[in-house]
This record gives sequence, C-alpha cells and structure tokens, in this order.
Amino acid sequence: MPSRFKRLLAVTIGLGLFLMPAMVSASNQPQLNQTINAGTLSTDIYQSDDTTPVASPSVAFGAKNVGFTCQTSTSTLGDANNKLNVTNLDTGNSHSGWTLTMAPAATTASWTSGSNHYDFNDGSASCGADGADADSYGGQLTVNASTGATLTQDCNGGSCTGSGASKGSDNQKFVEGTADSATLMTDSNYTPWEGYLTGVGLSQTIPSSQTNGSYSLTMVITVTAN
Amino acid sequence: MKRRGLLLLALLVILFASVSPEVFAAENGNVGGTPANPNPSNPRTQSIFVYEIKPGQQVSDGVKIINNSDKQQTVTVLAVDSVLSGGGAFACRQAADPKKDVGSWISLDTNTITLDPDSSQVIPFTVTVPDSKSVDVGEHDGCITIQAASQTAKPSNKNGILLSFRSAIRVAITIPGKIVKSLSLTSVDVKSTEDGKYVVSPVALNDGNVSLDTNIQVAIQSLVGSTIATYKEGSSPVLPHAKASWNYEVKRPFWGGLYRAQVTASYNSDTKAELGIDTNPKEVSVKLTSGLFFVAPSTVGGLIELAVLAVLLIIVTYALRRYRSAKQVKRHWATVTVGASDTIQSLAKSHHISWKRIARVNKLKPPYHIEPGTKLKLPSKKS
Repeated sequence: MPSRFKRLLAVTIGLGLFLMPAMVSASNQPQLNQTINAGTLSTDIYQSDDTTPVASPSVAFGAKNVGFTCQTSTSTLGDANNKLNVTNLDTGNSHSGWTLTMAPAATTASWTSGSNHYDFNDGSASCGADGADADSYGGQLTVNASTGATLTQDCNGGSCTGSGASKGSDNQKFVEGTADSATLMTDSNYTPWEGYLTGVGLSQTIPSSQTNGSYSLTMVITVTAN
Repeated sequence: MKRRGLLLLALLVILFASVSPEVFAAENGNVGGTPANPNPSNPRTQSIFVYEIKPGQQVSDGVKIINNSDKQQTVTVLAVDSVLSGGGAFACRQAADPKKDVGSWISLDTNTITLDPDSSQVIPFTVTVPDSKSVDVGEHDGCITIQAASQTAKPSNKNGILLSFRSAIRVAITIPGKIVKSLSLTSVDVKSTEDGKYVVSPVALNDGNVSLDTNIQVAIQSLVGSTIATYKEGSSPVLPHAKASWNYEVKRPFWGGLYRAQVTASYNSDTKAELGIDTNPKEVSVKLTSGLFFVAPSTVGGLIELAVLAVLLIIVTYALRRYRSAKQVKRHWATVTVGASDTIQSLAKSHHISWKRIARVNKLKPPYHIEPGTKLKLPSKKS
C-alpha cells in the first residue's frame, strides 16, 4: 500500500473518529426527534403483568339459594390477576389531586336478571326490605375499601415522587340520593403516581324470596382530577 | 480490494457518526385528557378547569383528549354534574343521571371522537351560566368525563358486577358575589386495624360557599403532650356545604401507651383568592384533639417493658422487706451482751431465728466469730 494512501486513510479515519462526538452533538440537537406525549390520568384493571388490561372485567358474587330470609352475598374487587390500576403520569402539570370512585351506571339502576330486579342503593334499615326510594326493590351494596384492601405503589422505574395514595373507608353503603358513589382511593400529593388496589370488600344484601336468576349490575370506576 | 475495503470502513465510520439516532415516542398511560388552554397565572388550571363567570355570561374553552395507547380509540366525552363520594371525596355523576347544575351548563362541540394511537384532539366547549335568579353565589362543580369504548362494559349474561372505566376532569365555576370561606373540624375518630396499625379519621365541615383546598396534619401526642409522630398529605378539596373525612394510618408506637391525636386543618381564607392560586395566602388553622386512646406496645417493646417491670418489682419487694425487717428490729429487738459460751448458732437457736439474720442485722462478717462481751441486737426469746 503506497504511503500516501496510508496517510490519507489514517487522516480520514482519524477525522471521522474526532468528529463523531461533535457531529452527534451538533447534528442531533436541532434535529432531536423525541416525542414525549402529554401524560394523562387514567384507570383500568390489569392482569398480573401490570400491563395487559383484563377483557370485559367483572366481579362475581357467590351463588345463593332462594331463601325465606334476607341474605348477604360477598365478593372482592381486585386480586393478583385483576389489579385496579391508577396511573397519574401528568408529569408536566400535576397540579391537582385525584379520587378513584365507584358508582353504578345510574342511580336508578338495579341488579337485573331478565325482568327480575333487586336494589343496590336502598337505605331501608331492615335487611333487604324496600325503603323510601323511587323503585320498589330492596337490597343494598356496601363497599369496604380499607380493611382487607391492599394498596400497592408500583412506579415502574421510579416515576412516583409523592408519598402515595390513600385507601377509602369501610362501610360505604349506597343510598339513593344521599350516597351515590363510593371512594376507593384518593391522592392529594399533586405528584406523579402509579399503583393498584386489590382486596376491596363488597357486600350485597338480597331480599327474602328473591326470584332465582343470574343477576348483574354495571358499575363505573372513575378517576377524577380534582 | 484491500484499499477499497479500508476506504469503505472509513466512510462507514463517518456515516455512523453523522446519522442522528431516532428516538421513538414515549408512551404514557391510556386515554385521558387535560384542559386545552390553561391559565398561565393559575397552575391548577393545567389539571382542572377553573372559571369565575357571572350569571348569564358564557366562556369558551377546550378539552384536549389524549390517546397514549398503541391502538385507535373511540372516545366518548360528556359533561356531567359532580357528586360527593364516600368520605366527602369529589366524584362525577353518571351520564344517565339527570343534569341539574354544571353538567347542564357545558355544551361540547362533539361527544364522540376517534383518535389514532399516540394522538390527541381538542374538543371545544362553551360554559353558559344561567341568569342570577336560578343560580346561587359561590362555587358550582361538575366534570368532563372521558371514556374509551374499549373500557365500556358490554351487555353480558355474567353474574355479578360488570365494570366500566373512565377518567374525568373537575370543572369548578365560581359565581361572584359574597364569598364565604369557613371550615371547622367536627370529630376525630381513632380505630385499630387488624394489622396492628391505627387509623385516625378527622372529619371537617365546610360551611362556606366555595371549596377549600385543605391541608390536614395529624400529630400523635403522648400523655404529657410531646409529639411522637406527625402525618400529613397534600392539599385536598373540601367541597362547599359538605363534610370530608380522611384516614391516616398511624404506626403503632414502639412503647405503646396512652396517646391523643391532634388534628390541624389549614386553608386559605382569602375570599378573593381563586381556586389554585396561593399568592399572599391568609392561612387559617383550626385544631381538634381526639380523646385518649390506648395503644398496645410492639412485641419487642412489650417484652422489654415486661423485663423492666419484673426488675422493678424485685427491687421494690426487696426494699420493702428490708424496711419491714428494720422496723421489726427497732420495735422488738433488744441489745444483749454475748456470754462466754455463746456462739452465733447457739444464740440463733435460743432466740428462734436464723443465724444469718443475726449476722445481717448486726453486720457480722465471716467467719461470724463473736467475742464474749460483744453487744448484739437480738429478738426477745418469747417472740
């Protein structure tokens, strides 16, 4: 190899290596093409991997036989495979707290199986009896968001900067017109946070002699920036 | 060929150095929204809508709907009234519920949009406040709710609760007039939990006509008034004419004992301050203290306390016996002169007590030899 060519090659490689950082620096800065989408406050129910939403999530209650007396059926909202997740990645503008609440799709809704119903928000003092609300069904749903519930902060690499969210209270009974929503979590730290809730206790009174059937009720879980 | 290869390598080095690496979009969360036109002088408006609107007037704004998922999303955006949730927390009414307040004042340009992955769209809306006859002075709250079709429960024959999910943004509208800011603490409840913690639950009443961003601090105080732990969170709204409660999980104090929870609620009493603006705050604090509550010590603390108690008991018992013995000696014992044939054992036998007690009371040292003529304190032979 002629020495002239060797020198030219050496200068070219040397120049390339010398300019590499400068070129990266000079050329990348004006052309930096990173897009950080605005973070949002959102809620969903995830599988155990913390990322895959549960398709058509529901909370099943144990079967009860038709009885001559009022009965209570219980269930749990959230477990290891159904994590009630909240993500507040409002990193640029976290200037409010948030609440996670649960309420039926309408205050006039009811547990329904075909043409049969019973209530979730009847405030009658007598178990399962019909009270003073507009409908003629008895029954009441109670949410226990504290005892037995577990709140886990899960920030995937440390994006949480706050001290964390708080669980709601126990014994939140739905009463039409006066208690139309139950609180599952609150966060007043005004900071990014991610985590999930499991083990929320649900207890539903069922009126005596309720017609057999497979009853369902749609509930909406809402995370609200406040 | 070799020269060409080396030249190609050199060109590749230069090419590699000059190409800017592509950085992909970061994905955050799912579907949500933020105010589209926040007020630069009020940072709170970056997360919620805050307006002061006179009766009969209208304000135009927009809500930015963001799809941070990797799928196209059809999103329903609605205006609804607010509702108090359990514990006085802020919540939004359902789309099916009748709209009587802020929910009926907001008119969105559209209620359904379809967003591509990693995209956003602003939906304009107007807020029209009714005339003064039908609207009270003070704060009125509502929500703009955002719900993806993928998060809406479909009809099903499943047994149980079918779940839908949505996010929402609070809309706080103040009707100007005589603004009243007043908050009091009405109770402080303390309960123990199954996992050995304690929950302190203060309740506050906002009897004013605007919401108050309230800071709550819970101080756990010992019987003598010293603070052993303090708990506080950020600022949370107490809505007008409503009660709010908080639950503070308190760790069990190591030593246990009797404690009180002193709760302090602080808020900005400046009636001219807009929600979210804390410049020149006139902070007011109200306090309320719980009754005394007993906290069992931790396991280690309890064992240490038991050990200390046992040692104290032994010391007290010993001291008491010494005191009684000294008292008995003083009252019933007399000074006796030791005879030539007396030994400590013979004296103990004749006076019906142990020789050790004679040695202890008379401070005799081993080998306990006593010289005739020595004066000793001894009980009377009758006793």
